[in-house]
Amino acid sequence: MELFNFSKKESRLYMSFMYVTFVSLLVGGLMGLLQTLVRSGKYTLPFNIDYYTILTTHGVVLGLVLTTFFIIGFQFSLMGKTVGISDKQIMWGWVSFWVMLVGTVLAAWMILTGEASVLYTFYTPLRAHPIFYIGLALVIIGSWIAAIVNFRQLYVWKKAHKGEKSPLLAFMVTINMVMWVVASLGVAYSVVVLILPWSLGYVATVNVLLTRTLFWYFGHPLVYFWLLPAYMAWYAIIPKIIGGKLFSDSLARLSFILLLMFSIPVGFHHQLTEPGIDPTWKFIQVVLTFMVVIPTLMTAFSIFATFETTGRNKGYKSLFGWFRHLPWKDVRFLAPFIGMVAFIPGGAGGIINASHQVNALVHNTIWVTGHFHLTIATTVILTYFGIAYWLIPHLTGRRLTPKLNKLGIIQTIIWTVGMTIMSTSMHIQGLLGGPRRSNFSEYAGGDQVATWISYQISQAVGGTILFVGIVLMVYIFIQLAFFAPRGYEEYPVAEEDMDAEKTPKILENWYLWIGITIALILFAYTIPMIDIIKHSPPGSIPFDWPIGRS
Amino acid sequence: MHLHKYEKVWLVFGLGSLALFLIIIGFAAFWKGTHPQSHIETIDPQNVEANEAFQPENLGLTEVAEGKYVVNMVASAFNYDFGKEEDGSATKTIRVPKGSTVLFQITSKDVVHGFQVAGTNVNMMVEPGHISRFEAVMKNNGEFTVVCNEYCGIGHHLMFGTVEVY
Amino acid sequence: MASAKQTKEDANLKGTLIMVMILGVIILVFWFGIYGLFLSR
Repeated sequence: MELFNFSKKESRLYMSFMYVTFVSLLVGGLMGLLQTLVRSGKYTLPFNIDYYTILTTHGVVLGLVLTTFFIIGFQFSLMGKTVGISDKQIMWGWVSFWVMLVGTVLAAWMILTGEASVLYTFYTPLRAHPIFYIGLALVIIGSWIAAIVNFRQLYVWKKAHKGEKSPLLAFMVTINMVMWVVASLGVAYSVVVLILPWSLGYVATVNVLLTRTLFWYFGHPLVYFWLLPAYMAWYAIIPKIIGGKLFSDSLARLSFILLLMFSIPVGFHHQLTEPGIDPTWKFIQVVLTFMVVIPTLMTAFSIFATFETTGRNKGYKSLFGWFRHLPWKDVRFLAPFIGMVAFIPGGAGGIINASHQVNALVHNTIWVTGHFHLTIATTVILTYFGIAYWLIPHLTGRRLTPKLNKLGIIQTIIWTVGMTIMSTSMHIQGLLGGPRRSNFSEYAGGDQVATWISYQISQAVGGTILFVGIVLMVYIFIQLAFFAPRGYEEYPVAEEDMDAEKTPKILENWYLWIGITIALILFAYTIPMIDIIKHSPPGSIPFDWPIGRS
Repeated sequence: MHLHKYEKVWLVFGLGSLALFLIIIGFAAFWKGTHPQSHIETIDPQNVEANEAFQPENLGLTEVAEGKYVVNMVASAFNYDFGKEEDGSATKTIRVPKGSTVLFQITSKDVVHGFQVAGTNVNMMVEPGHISRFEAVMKNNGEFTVVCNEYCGIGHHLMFGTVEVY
Repeated sequence: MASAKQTKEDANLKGTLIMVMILGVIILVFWFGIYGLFLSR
């Protein structure tokens, strides 16, 4: 397998995405800390800052900015490493970076001045300042530019390597970007065509349910867009770190194809308690949602099998000897491993959330917040951290020293402890009916509310521990970027076994897989969309005052 | 493509579990009628009184038959209108006997809201232009907080009520 | 080639099977626990 060395120019591009990532981590993390403190009831925000301003900042900065920048930077590096990048493509990489950054700054400006306290879901008919929507649109457009560059990179490589199968990681990046483009078309349409003209006053009313449906058409693949880079690392990087080989190239590709097909036609499972969608179509999308569990079941097996095969090849013969001898002291392994473990309750919770009528038990309760703090804020983010420990020094020509490795392990433990406390208490409070997305409130008082508040206090404890973890992570990042000793840090890419089974050609038939993906989307959405438009009520005029705009 | 025999065992087990979940919730939904709320009934958000249920005098709790109740409500930022008490003050608590069947009907005059009787399965999105409706048997005694669980603006957390089952 | 395939076929993955089965049981227990709570309300 041929791996490309990064030029200085290339490394600079990839690093620029990482700077934004870790600035976002600090800013967004601070907002998270403040939220948990406010919700404990023991602390009020200074300078008349509104709770929902920091909540919007937290969601947008961590959910949209940190993730998108990290993913696109990391994926560029994967493409550069496995299929190479031309000067022209680097130039377009910079265009995508700047378009996204300008969009981010515009959106952040509006949020921080209180003109866009609409949370990261920006549900109409709450109306933010038009510049907020323009900013969001730019972030998406910038990400499309990156996608086109990635597609071009693979295309150029394929032309030069006729008849060869594409490198696994390049294949995976392409899958993720295809999914992202197909999904974000929905939200882009909603933002640019439906919401922006309405926010400017050119159109009087907006179809609320339509904008929500388009958001969730995008919103669920969004979480898979976050998750797939973690899966890339689990399938194709972790094996190298633990001294093994790929378990199966074909199965890895198959699971990514299934993720592409079933990530999108499932948005209704976020809208199960909506009044305006036919319950039969909700149920159909519930079934499709359950289909997307299958590639994850395959992934779980692959990961354990990689560990076991590697351990057994090293000579550990007992039933769990391979497990005991995993490189627990290597943070490049430990952090993603904890992420995998968190995905067990995270995934189980996800199946519960999607279970049609059972969703009423947890919908919009803080259980959901607890759920995605396991999935995105533990599984995904700890894997991203695990990647950063080698990616950053690889890009800056430095080394992950034993001391930094140790700090990383401490960071991972802090995160695990903080998140266990915070997420568990969120799950329990949610089952007791405590709502998410809410400032501190005693409501009508009574025992029920008192119980909620006691859990909010433990969330503040967990949140504080997590913030310590964030500060430590940012410190490690700064060390790796600027101060660690110069040297060479490996970019770990796992190889196939010499005698590995040949990967079937059909797995690279893009027309087929994208065709099925589109067919599934049309199946799941056409009729309910026609229903939504045909049965639409009078549209909604914009509302500014509820979010404190005058 | 080759699957290890244990992977086949695992996938059969996993797919079987998923199928089992789907059969249970599908049976409950289609045969027992416990779908999540969806009535696809629309209304003009700027004129909710056009619908009889949401005229001011019809808001709040009504006993329609022995042990059967209807509660009509209008949500707006940042308040639930549960109708008025006999003395003219706004109703904040809805009291129903244990075991009664209650149909909750609600719509929004402005933005998106939530309506959850926390601690029960009554949990609905409330959207302008749509009527949300859910019938529940109040099985357990207690005071349940009604919370708006979808962000509706800076007073979102001040939007609440109480359902008391006695 | 045939012999190589043979070794793959027989790869000892007993530990893996136990691990994923534990995971599967966790999913079942979680789901039925929550479903029970749903029915009780």
